[in-house]
Amino acid sequence: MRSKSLAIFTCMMLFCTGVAYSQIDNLADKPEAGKQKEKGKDKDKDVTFSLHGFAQANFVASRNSIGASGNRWRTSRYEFPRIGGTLRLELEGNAYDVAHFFSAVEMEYNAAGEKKNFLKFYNPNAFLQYTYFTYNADFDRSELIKNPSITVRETYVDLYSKHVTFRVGQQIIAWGEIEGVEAPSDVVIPWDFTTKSNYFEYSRIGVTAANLSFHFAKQQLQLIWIPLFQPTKLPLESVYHRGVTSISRPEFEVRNGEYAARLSGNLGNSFRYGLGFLYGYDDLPDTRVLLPGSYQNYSFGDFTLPVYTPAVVFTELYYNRVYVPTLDLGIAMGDVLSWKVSANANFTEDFWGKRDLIKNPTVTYLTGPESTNMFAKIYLGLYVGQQWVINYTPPTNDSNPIELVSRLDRFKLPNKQTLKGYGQLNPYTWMLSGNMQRSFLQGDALDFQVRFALYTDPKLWRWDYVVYPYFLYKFTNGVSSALGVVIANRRGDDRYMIISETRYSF
Amino acid sequence: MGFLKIFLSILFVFTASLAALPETAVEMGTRLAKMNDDRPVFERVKARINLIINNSSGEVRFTKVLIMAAYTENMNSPVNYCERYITYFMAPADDQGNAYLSYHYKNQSDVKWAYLKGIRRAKKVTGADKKLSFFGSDFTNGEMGKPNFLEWKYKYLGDDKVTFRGNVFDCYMIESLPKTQSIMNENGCGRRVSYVEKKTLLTLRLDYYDENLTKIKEMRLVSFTTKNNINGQKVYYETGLEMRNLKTGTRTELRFSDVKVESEANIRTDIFTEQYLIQKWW
Repeated sequence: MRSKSLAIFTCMMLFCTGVAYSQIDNLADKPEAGKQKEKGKDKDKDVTFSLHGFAQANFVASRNSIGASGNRWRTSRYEFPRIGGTLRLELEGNAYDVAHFFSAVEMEYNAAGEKKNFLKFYNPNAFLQYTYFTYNADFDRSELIKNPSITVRETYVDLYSKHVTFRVGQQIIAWGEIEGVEAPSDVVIPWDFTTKSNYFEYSRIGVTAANLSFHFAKQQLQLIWIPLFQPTKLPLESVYHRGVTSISRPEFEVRNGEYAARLSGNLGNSFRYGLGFLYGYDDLPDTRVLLPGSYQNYSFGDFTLPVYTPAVVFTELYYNRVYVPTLDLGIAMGDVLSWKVSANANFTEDFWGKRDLIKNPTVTYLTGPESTNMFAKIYLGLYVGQQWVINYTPPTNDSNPIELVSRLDRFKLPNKQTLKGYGQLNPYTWMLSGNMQRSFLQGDALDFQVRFALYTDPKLWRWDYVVYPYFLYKFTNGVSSALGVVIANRRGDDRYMIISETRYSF
Repeated sequence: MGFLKIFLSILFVFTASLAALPETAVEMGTRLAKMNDDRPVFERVKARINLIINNSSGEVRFTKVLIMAAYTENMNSPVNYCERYITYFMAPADDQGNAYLSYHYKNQSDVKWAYLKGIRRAKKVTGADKKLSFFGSDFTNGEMGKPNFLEWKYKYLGDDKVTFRGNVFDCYMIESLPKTQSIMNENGCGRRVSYVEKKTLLTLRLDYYDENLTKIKEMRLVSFTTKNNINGQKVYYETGLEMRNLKTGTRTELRFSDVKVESEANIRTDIFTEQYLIQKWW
């Protein structure tokens, strides 16, 4: 009887546990149920297209460095150069896993209007354009154009195979281990210094290029051909300040293309390197000053002194060929830090620095610690470095009248201003560049970012600075507002702006 | 001779009595935690992950959608074992295009890469603060992966019942305490109590306590799936978790959908490289 009870009890126990076991198994999700549906879905997904983008309201207040005096166009030292909206559409497509298409087109309406009748200055289709300024601003309000503008930021096609990727079209190419206001090895594409946005990456200008990459054993070999040189976009103020009379660009010919190659990769888990070379044009122009005029004789008793008197000053900007090797290193230091090096040498045709009006070659480096601790929601990079001028030529003494007069001919001017514009006033310049980003609150809703670069001469007397701090607050999915400030004074140009951008991304 | 016999008999009885002694709570807790840690896994998984972040009023504040592929290399070797993950952000729109790659090794530091579309660069991510929140959610980075079994000491606290999808299940209550102060500080956690379902060893509920041993969070299993892995072992795979923050009143749901495993996942093993951070692999 007792053994019977025990047997029944054991069976009950087994039964109960069996019930519990099958119950929890029965509660499992059944991937099989959706399998057929998923298969069908996958088939549909072989070729996909998606449309994304954002609509954004913009507001910028800035201090106008040209000023109100002598300026019929601008009436106040403070202005609102950007009030309006931006609509960006991004069309993306994938064909199986072998081809990819991306296009980003931006439409902007600026109620403040913009002076655009010198658009060809910057337009890649312009090969040689002249726009004249005088020392007094000679544009007026009728030149302000308020029509919406359409800009193609990027449009490219990717073709993939197992170890090769090929991207062709207008694209943004970023090189190097560090990023920020100064990144010496990031030399391939130019910058747009006219951008009035908190999003630093919008300062990058896409270039038309063919970009072939080979991937092998954790290494990458990249070969780039840029048939159409695109220079850096200069702010109007900068051009105005210098009394620039023309900007000439290389003509669209095969011989004027740019070529770049870079080998980069990982050696073990702790060491990264990048060796690059660009044969292209300097993105920032050189200056050629022409002083057509005649010699006039000044008589001092019996003695007659012929003095060259310029009738007019032409300041032409043009672009020089450069050869730019680059170097990047990234060395992991423990779990949290890595040490970065980014360097370039910019060799111009005036390697020996014999011609004052052509930039001398330079060697630039930045090095410092970086913590990309994304999981700590902080990105921090702090780099110190120098820019050395090879075969540095000191500027001549402008206060010496004999020296001044002796150099006044058709091809030379006192070069202090020119060297200042080149950033080559000193044999070397100290640089301190940093980048910090930190997220706060639930959902990383609040983001603070600051990018900065400080420059000073060897005696630390005069400082140039570029500082971009901003806050970004995300209200909910895709809705965010950014408020930032630009404080910059570099090479004689300054920019002070407050920028607000409220965006809905879709 | 007689003495030896007596000695051997005593030894035998003593050893047998030792073996027959019931397990201590610590031994049992450690054994159960080890069994939980050794649960079979899939070699390949592909899934869509929804991270739904709710505010204290219960409203959805952010939804992040990722597509994820995972590959466990050398899954039968406890020494060379390496979990590889690659994820691509599908939503929200301002995160779309960002991608993330990580190698989680058993015996060495993790290796992680992030591609941020804004800066157009794949960056090596150094450091992983385990106690900070995972993409702004109520989960911490440390809670997203398997905790290191050797860093914690365990104790069986007894049995309890936990409700899962309207059914009540018997569970082992296992307490985990950090072995050192630094482990506690690193994880921001002074105590965990897991409710492990007795048959499947699925953790149905997990309570988190802060460094002052105050209960701060409660995680519950919302859903799971089960299938055999390539070795023919039955795998219980969590596909839905919910974390409630008792301090802030916020809540995050982590939901896997379109889960495909092993051959169905159709994942190539060479996609876990920097190259595929910017290239379609799914």
